[in-house]
Amino acid sequence: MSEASWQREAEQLCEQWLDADSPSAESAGAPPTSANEQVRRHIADQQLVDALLQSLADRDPRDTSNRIRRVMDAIAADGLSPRTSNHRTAKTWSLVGLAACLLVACTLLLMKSANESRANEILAQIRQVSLADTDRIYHVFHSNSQHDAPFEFLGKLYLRGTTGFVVQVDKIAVGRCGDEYWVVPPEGPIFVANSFNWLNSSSTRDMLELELLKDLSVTSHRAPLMQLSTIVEAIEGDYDFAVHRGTYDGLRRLDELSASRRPGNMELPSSIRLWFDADTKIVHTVELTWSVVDGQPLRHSVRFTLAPAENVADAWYQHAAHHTAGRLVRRVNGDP
Amino acid sequence: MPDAHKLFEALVREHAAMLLVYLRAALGNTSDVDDLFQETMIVAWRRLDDFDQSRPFGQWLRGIAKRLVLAHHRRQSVRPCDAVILDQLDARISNLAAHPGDTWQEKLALLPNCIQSLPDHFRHAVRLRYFQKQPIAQLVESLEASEAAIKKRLQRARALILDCIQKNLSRLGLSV
Repeated sequence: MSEASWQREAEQLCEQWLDADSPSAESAGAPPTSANEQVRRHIADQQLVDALLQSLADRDPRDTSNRIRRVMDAIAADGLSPRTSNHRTAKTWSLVGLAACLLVACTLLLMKSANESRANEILAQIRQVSLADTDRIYHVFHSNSQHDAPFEFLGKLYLRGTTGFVVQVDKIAVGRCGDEYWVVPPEGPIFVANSFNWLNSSSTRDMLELELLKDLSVTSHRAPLMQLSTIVEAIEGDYDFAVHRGTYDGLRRLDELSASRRPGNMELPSSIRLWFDADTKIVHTVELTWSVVDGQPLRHSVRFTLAPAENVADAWYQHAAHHTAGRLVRRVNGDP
Repeated sequence: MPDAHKLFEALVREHAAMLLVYLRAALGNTSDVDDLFQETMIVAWRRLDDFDQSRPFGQWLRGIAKRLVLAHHRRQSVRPCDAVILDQLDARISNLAAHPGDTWQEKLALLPNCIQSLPDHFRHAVRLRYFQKQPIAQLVESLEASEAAIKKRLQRARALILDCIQKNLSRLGLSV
């Protein structure tokens, strides 16, 4: 069979079975196959890349973790146990091998467990510090490049524990004061909402050009990612993480916590890195990186860097501090 | 000391993403993938005693999955699938598994770059089909092309992606 001929046959089979909207309905009975091995190998390659792309794009909530849990539940519920061989020698070798495996695995697990325990402890300390009602100011940068392009300055973030934040980007200010969320655009009415959902809706973001919120709000049921305690919460729930010891810069030692998202919530950053003071656990830099944006494989990062402290009045977290008196304030309630 | 369940769960976690790709490739994106994933893992648990520890665990899992896929295929056919196809999948996945990285996701970190390097019209078709889940009929409208042209474009895009992966592996001195 000539190359053109087998390729044509392979393409036809792929068209019929791989790229049909409903292949099983399209053709009754068994899928046609080919006697030609090259055709079958070509089909296998196409099926493999199809599966790789599906796995990359998959946002099915029934993620890998759920599948694993179901497997382990099934094993536990049915009381299934590994079958053992009756053959004495085979069994002996098997047990020796398994013991060796267990020894290595136990050592690795114990080492991993010790490291994980330390990392968990440090994350809990960072969380504790981030919950305190202390004002901290961060400079916000972003980078949209695939490669190591420099970060561009976006604006300033004022944080007060879990009760207040203000983000100033261009001439827009977005903030939270207790249970009230607000946005002050350069002109027009000021919007005040009793939940983050309204600000987080795509229509609001588009209307007010709140591009930064798109990255940092993530999902409507979460508090925005710009709050450090939310970042810590996300790391605890959705990431594998480790802590790496840093070096003294003369003033302090900045350690690094690096976290990689487990398969699942694609809206969350694929990686999060925190650099924090080894003694005080105050976060000096946060870097959030997405590797898939709007379903596209694009790299996008946002970085917060601790700025010098300022005296911040309580009123700073209220919208009135960010616009002139007399502007119309529109209150919106509930979901968009 | 961790018990056998915990050790097995660690192995399952390590190899789950790889096995799902293998099953998806063999069966398509159907509920059968979930069923056979669970069945493969349960069979692996029960036959753990047969596992030759000098060989990769992932390869052993795919061996179990292959037998289950072939049995399933005899009962119900969704995709072309036979021993040659499954062996080819196994060989490709073995090569991918040799790629640097602790997790399957890390081993496939090159995939987004390969998609990004596609010519615009191929990348666009891939984005609509896989990331926006558009059926072929909708792609015909979105891209203003015939169904046959769309299908050829997708096939060509997949071939280019595989080519890109192979070149990356070759650069690392891994056989493809």
